[in-house]
Amino acid sequence: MDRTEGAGLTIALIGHVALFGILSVGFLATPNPLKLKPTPIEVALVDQVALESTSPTPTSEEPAAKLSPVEAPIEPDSAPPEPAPNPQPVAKPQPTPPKPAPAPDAVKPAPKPLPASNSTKPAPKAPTKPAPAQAPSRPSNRPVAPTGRLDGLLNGISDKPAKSTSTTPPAANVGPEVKAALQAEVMRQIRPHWAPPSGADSDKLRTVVQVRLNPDGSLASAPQVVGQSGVTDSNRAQADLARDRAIRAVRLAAPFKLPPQFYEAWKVIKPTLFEDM
Amino acid sequence: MEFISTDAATMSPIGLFLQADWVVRAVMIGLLLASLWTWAIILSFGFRVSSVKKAIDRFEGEYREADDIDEFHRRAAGRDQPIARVFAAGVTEWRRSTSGKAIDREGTRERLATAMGATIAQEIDRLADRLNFLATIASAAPFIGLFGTVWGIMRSFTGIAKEQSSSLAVVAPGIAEALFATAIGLFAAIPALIAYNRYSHGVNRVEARLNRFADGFHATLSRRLEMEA
Repeated sequence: MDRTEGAGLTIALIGHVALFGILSVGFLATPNPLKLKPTPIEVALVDQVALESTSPTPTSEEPAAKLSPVEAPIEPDSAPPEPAPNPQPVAKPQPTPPKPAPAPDAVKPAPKPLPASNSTKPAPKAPTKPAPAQAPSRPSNRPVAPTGRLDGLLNGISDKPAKSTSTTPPAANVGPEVKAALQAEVMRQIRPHWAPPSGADSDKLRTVVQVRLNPDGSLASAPQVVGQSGVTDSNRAQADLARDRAIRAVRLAAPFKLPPQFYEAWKVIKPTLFEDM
Repeated sequence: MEFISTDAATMSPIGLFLQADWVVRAVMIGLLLASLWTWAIILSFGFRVSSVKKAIDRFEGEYREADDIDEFHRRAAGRDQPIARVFAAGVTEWRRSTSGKAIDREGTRERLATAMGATIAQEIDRLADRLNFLATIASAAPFIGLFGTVWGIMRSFTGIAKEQSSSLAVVAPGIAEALFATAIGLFAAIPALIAYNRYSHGVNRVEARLNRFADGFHATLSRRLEMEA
């Protein structure tokens, strides 16, 4: 190392110290533009099998319709002419009250409805006509009014499902997707217990087992083989074995864990068992 | 010293260094020393090559104007310059060859050329002594830095495995610190590469000029040899 190298080393040292000093002071420090803190992402855990995706949601109309057995309470054709007779039955009882007041108590129930019903009869036809008669007076659809039950009235206007009605939809409402999902779920629960016989052409065997289930998923009847297809000469020996084992698999799989609100859809299941299902 | 930030998130070299693993630290220190030495060589080489060029210019000018080679030799041969040493080697060989009674002209010419050529080679060797260090740094520093980076990133990933968390905040400081090793490697390698190419070209030019001077001087001595004989 000679004189020039000493000078070069000194200058290089000063330069490096200066550069790293400037960097250390934070001269180039970015104000961290990337937010490194992860923002939480909302994750919804959905069942692997879409059991409830297409279930019809119980609406608020349902309980109201049940509470009012009167059919077709809203008829735009008949409603407009009826407001005219409507005030009459309301107005007529008003003059009648003076009558029962002086009259004795025993006659009280009889006269009261009779003059009202008799007088209203000319205008409406049926005695139950107060229902349509009062229907137009309500501003919105409140089919509960005809029955005169106040608890039903409350149920009709609330958004919440009624306490009295069950949320189980009728069987016709279970969509094909739900049915497919239920079928897949049944197969999934049977699969661990299914030990198919092996042999020539055993993969062609398809055994259909039918069984009735209780609402808690247990077997309500003994499983029966209701059909078997794919029986050939070479696997005929295994066909009986497959039937026995299919029945045993269904027995072992019970109780089935299936959504109770779709009980109508799985009251009777007919799983088809085959070798590599 | 609170104004010196040691937080790794602020690109502070000290912060990144303090965060690092000891292997990465060793790599960083080594590369920093390499960078320091590289720049020392670059600067000193710059000084030396320019001074050599200037000395050649001046020496050639004086040589052209000099009437008597012996007188010029007395005046200029003692200088600590490559071209002066080449000149001195030529004159020394001339004197040795012509001191005897019988002069072998062909042998003298050959010996003159060999003596000056050897001196030139020696001078160029001395001049280019540090260039190989620049070449080594230029090619090796990125790999050393890369080693530090790979090591640091491996450490970050083992950190992920240990903490069972792959959030960016867990990984990012380790990767930043690891990449800093490559940054220092490139910081050392790029100037070394540029300087190596530039100075090897400079050394070649110096060698060419020395050779030209030696050829001219050889021609002069060769002519003198014919006149004296």
